[in-house]
Amino acid sequence: MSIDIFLNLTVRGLTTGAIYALVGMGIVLILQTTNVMNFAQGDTGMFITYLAFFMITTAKVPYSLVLILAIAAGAVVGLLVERFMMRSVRSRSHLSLIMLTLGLSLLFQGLAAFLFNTEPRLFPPLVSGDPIKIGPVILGRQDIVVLLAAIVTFGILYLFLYRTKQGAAARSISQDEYAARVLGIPTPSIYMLIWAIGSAMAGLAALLIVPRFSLEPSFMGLVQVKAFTAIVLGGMGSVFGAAVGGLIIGVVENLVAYQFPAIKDSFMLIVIVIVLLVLPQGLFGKGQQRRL
Amino acid sequence: MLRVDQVVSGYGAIDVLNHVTISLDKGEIIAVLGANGAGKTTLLRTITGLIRVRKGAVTFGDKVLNGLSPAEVVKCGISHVPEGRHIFPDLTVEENLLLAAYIMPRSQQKSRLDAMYAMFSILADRRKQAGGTLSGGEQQMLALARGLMPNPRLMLLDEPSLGLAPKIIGTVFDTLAHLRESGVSILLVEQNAKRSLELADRAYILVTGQVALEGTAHELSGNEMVKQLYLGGTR
Ligand SMILES: Nc1ncnc2c1ncn2[C@@H]1O[C@H](COP(=O)(O)OP(=O)(O)OP(=O)(O)O)[C@@H](O)[C@H]1O
Ligand SMILES: [Mg+2]
Repeated sequence: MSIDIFLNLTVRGLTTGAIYALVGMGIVLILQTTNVMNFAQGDTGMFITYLAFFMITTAKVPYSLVLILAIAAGAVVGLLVERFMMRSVRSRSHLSLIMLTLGLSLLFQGLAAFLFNTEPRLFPPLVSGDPIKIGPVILGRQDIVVLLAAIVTFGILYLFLYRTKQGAAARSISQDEYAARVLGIPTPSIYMLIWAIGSAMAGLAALLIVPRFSLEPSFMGLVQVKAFTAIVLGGMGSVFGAAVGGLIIGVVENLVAYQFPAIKDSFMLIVIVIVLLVLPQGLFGKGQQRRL
Repeated sequence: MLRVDQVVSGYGAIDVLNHVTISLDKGEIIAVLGANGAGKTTLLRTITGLIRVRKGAVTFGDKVLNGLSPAEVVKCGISHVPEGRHIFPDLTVEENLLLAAYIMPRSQQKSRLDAMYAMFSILADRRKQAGGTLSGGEQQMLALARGLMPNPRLMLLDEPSLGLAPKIIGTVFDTLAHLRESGVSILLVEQNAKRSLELADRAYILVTGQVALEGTAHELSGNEMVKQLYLGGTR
């Protein structure tokens, strides 16, 4: 493999990794704050992408607006999911909450199939035009948008968590939910806010990656698996870990795919197994504690 | 000011408090004493809305607290310093304090923060330090300061002397005496009966979820049963 090919594969891998990072950060944010592993993160994004597709094709919404509307729609979906599904089950068992997210995943797939049918569709990229050449690296315009979106999202998330009182409240809940309630922090509204943010991130990620696949109810399945690999690698507990884990997975996957295309996807399972065996806390994990 | 009237509450299928009635006047310090598992913590949780009132009523001033969320109870002017302190270990001292005044506007938070630093100078020195790295005594001071952050009219304190060295316990009780001066009413749950009865105006003895005995701190200190059970027997 020449150095140029290596560089191209790496940068292109970073753009894929940025998507895994976006999905993974959303999962970790929700997991750490609300203590729920959201197995519907990918399909939330899928469903929102269908909504965006509907906006573009049927409602003729201008392309520039779609990204913002889709993110807003994601936030609303997250709010509704927390308010009308998670909240009522929260006080019961933890396992049922996780089962509920699996159910939610199927619900989104079913809804998408019912409302829009399952026929694969082409979803045009948000930006089009010739690829851009940066030194030896050739990068598609959409890929640059993806990278920028991931960086901006990470920055906003960081500012939210460390510079706003709602963010501080979310971090406090992740450390000691009981104490947060004792102090009079309105935990239900923080949960709702976190689901909204997490789901909006899912929508953004899905919308950015869908041009690489075709729009169909299952397109986020593998992406979610890789996002989970990313958070296992990053250490489950930290949003930063999920971001770094996502980037590493994206790059490694791309390099592996070049040499051994057949094992591109199953390779992730090998990574999960190795990480769990050798580095059970992940790169940035602190054990079983809940951290943000 | 606070009335707990024939209150029943508990967890799951079990009622822990069985028709508990207590009251507290403005400016008073009330002690609630009782063995492990008597329901002292449950009483505080019921008052602050962490668990539901099943029967009876909790009122504060002329406001009925039944069914309010903990956040709403804090807004009414009641704060709760929980058993075991529950400091957020990875948040700084300052973040711990600010979160205790979550509902307040920024400017007010700032002035309360300054007031806390003036009152607890050790906290001022450690404002950027993670809560989990403080010593037990410092954590208890932080817990007290968190209780004071929302500028409460009534503070519920759950075993503030638990696990502390005698000297630090002295500091804690001095702080409570000082708070009374500043007009904060206190409901104090304690295992340390001797010191609590010295500090309190009145006291209640809770036995398996019921008030077994009540009276002025002076009366109870002289009571034979209390001496036997809680003051280590003085025969
Ligand atoms: N979260 C809970 N779920 C179920 N039962 C509980 C819970 N918390 C307390 N209990 C039960 O309620 C009863 C009273 O407990 P509580 O914590 O109020 O006692 P306490 O007087 O505060 O005791 P201690 O002095 O040990 O703190 C006990 O029998 C306890 O087992
Ligand atoms: Mg207790």
